[in-house]
Amino acid sequence: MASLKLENICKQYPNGFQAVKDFNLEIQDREFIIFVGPSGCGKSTTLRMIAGLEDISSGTLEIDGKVMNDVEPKDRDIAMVFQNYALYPHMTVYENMAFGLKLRKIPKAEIDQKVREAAQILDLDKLLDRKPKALSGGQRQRVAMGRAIVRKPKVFLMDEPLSNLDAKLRVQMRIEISKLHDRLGATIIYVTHDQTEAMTLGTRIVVMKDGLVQQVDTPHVLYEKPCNLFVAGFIGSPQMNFMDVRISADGDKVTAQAGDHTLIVPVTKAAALKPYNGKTVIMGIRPEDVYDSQMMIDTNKDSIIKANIKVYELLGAEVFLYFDFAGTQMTARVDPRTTAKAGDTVSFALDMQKTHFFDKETEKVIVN
Amino acid sequence: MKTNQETSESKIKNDQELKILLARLKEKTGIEFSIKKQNPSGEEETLNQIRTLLSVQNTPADRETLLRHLLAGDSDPSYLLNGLKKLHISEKEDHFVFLIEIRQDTDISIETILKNLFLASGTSSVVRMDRSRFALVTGSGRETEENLHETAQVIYETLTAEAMLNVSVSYAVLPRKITCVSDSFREAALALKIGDIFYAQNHIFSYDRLGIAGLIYELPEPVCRNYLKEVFGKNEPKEMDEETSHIVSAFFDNGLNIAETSRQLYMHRNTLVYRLEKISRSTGLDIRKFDDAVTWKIAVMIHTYLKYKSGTSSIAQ
Repeated sequence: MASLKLENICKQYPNGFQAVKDFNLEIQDREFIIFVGPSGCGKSTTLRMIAGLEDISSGTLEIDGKVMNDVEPKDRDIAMVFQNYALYPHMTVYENMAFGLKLRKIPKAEIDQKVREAAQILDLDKLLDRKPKALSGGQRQRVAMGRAIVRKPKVFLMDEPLSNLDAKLRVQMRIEISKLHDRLGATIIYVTHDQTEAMTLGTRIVVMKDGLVQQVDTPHVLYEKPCNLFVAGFIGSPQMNFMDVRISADGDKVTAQAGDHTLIVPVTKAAALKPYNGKTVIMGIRPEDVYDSQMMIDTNKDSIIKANIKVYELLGAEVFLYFDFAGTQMTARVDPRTTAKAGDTVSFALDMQKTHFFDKETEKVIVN
Repeated sequence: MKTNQETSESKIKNDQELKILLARLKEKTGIEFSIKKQNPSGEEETLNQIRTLLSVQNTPADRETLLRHLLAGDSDPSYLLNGLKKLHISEKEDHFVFLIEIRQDTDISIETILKNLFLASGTSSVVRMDRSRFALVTGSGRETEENLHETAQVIYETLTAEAMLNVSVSYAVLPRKITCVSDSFREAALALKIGDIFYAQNHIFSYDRLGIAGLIYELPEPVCRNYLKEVFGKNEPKEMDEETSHIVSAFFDNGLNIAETSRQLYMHRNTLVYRLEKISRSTGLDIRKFDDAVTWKIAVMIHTYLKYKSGTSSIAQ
C-alpha cells in the first residue's frame, strides 16, 4: 500500500476555469481519506489528478516518495471505482473480475489466483458462476469493487460509488466498504458529496468548497470544532442552527443578544468574544444542543428562549421540532417522548457550552 | 452491321470506360491491372467482367466498415445500400451515436471493452474511426433520449476505471435512420470539439447542451474580433493574467457577491473592491454590474475561442 503527498496542487483549464486551488495534503499508508463537498467543489478533479487522468497545472504529487506528475496513469498502480461502473452483462462474476487482467495480458494462472482471492475478501466466492442479472444491487457493487481489487493497486480511488444506490443499500454498502478497508489494509481515497457517508467512513475528512480545502481533520474534530461557517453548516445532519447575535462585553460578563433574548456566554468563550463588543457575530448551535426538557431548562436558566413550533417531525427514535427564532428557522432534536406539538409555544434551553461563534465578515470561527 | 465509324466510336468509348474501370479497380484493391487486347471481340466481355468485379468490391465486407463509411458520410449511396442489404441491416430502425475520444496512448483494446459492455444488445456496434476515436451506434430500442446521458456516463466511467485513460464522450440527441447517422456523428463530433474549447473541465458533452458556446463557435472570426474591439476598444487584454482570471472567476462563482468572494479568496473586501475597480479602469467594464459581467463572460469565451482558432490554445495543439 502507499502514502501520498499533494503539495500546492492546482488545476486550471485552458478556458480559465480553476477547479482546484492550492491543495495540500499528506495521506499516510492505509488511511481512509474522504474528500467531501458540494457538487463542483473540485473533489473529483483532485481524484483524477492523483490517478493521472488530468494534468496537474502546478504543484507536486508524490506516491511513496516518488514524484508522479508525469507518470502515466497505468504506471501509477492505482485502481478506480465509480458509481456508474457497469458490469459486463454476458459475463459471469468470475469473468467480470478477470476481464481487466485479461486485457492486460496477465497469465491465466495468475488471474485465477487474484480473482479467487478477491472473491473471498468480498464474500463472492459462491457467486462466481452467476451473471449480473442474477445478482442483487449490493452484490453487483461488490463485483465492481472486485474488478479494482484484483489489480492489487497501491491506492484505491472511489468516486461516489454508492450514489446510485437506494438509501437502505447505501447504509449496507457503507458497512461493507468499511470492512473491506480493514481486510485489505488499503490506502483509500473516497469522494462523496454526502456528509453522513464521510463521517461514518473516513479516518480523516477533507472538506472542500469551490476548489479550496476548508478543513482537514477527523470526523470528531470536524463536528466539534469546525473552522468556519461552511464546515459547520456542511457537517452534521440536521444542519447546525445559525443566528445573528450582538455581543456585549461588560467587564468579564459577555452576553449575546438574539432578538429579544439575552443569552449569557460561558466564561470559556467570553475572552475570545470580548474584541467583538458591540458587533454582530454568527452564533451556531447544533439541533441536539437545543433542549425542551424541564431538567435542561432548570439547569440552563441563562439561555432560555421561547418559540412557537411550526413543524413536528417524528422519526421514531427522535423528534425534530422546527421553529422560528431571531429571524431564522431553527431545528431542535428532542426525545420522542416530548409533549410538544406543532402550534405550541415552548421554552427551549440552549446549551451555551456547545455554541460556536463565527466572524460575520470572514466566516472564520472565533471560538468553538 | 456496324459501320466503320460506329465501330471506331464504340472502340473509343470502350477504351475510355476501360480506363475508368481500371482506375476504380485500382482504388478499391490497390492493384494495378493492365489488359492485353488479343481478341477485339472480347472487349465487351472483359468490360463486363471488370464491372462485375467492381460491383462485388463495391459492397462492404463487414458491418464495421459499412458503419464507418455511413458515419463518415463519405461513400456513394449504392455502396452503402448494397452493404445494408448484404449485412441485413434495417433502414427503418432509428439509431443513436456516441463518440468516444481517448486522450492517451494505450495498449488496452478499447473496442474489446466497449463491445463487451454492449454485447447483450444485438443492435449496438462499435466502430473505430481513427487512432483515438471510436463511435458507438446503438439501436433506439435500447436507448431513449432520457437515458443517453446515463449511457455516456457508463461508457466514460467504465473506460476510465478499466483502462485508466483520460476519456471524453459526446453524443447527438436525435435518433436517426441508419442512412443518416453521419449527421449524428457530425453533431457528436461538434459537441466534443466545442466542449473541449469551452468546458474542458467536463468529460461528457451533449449536442443539445452546448449553450452559448455553440453560438460563439458558429461566429466568423472577424465578427468575434469586432466584438472584442467594441467591448474593450483599445483596452483589449491580450492575455488575462492568472490572478485577474482567478479573481473574476471566483467573483462569478459567488454570484457577483463581494463579501463571499473576498472570503473565498482570503482577501480583504477593500482589496477585492480595489482590484475590481482596477479591472474596470483598464477594460471599461465594471463587472459588479450584471450587464457588464455578462459582457465580460461572453468576451472571455470569445477570447478563448479566438485563441483556439489561432492555434495558441493547448486544445488546438
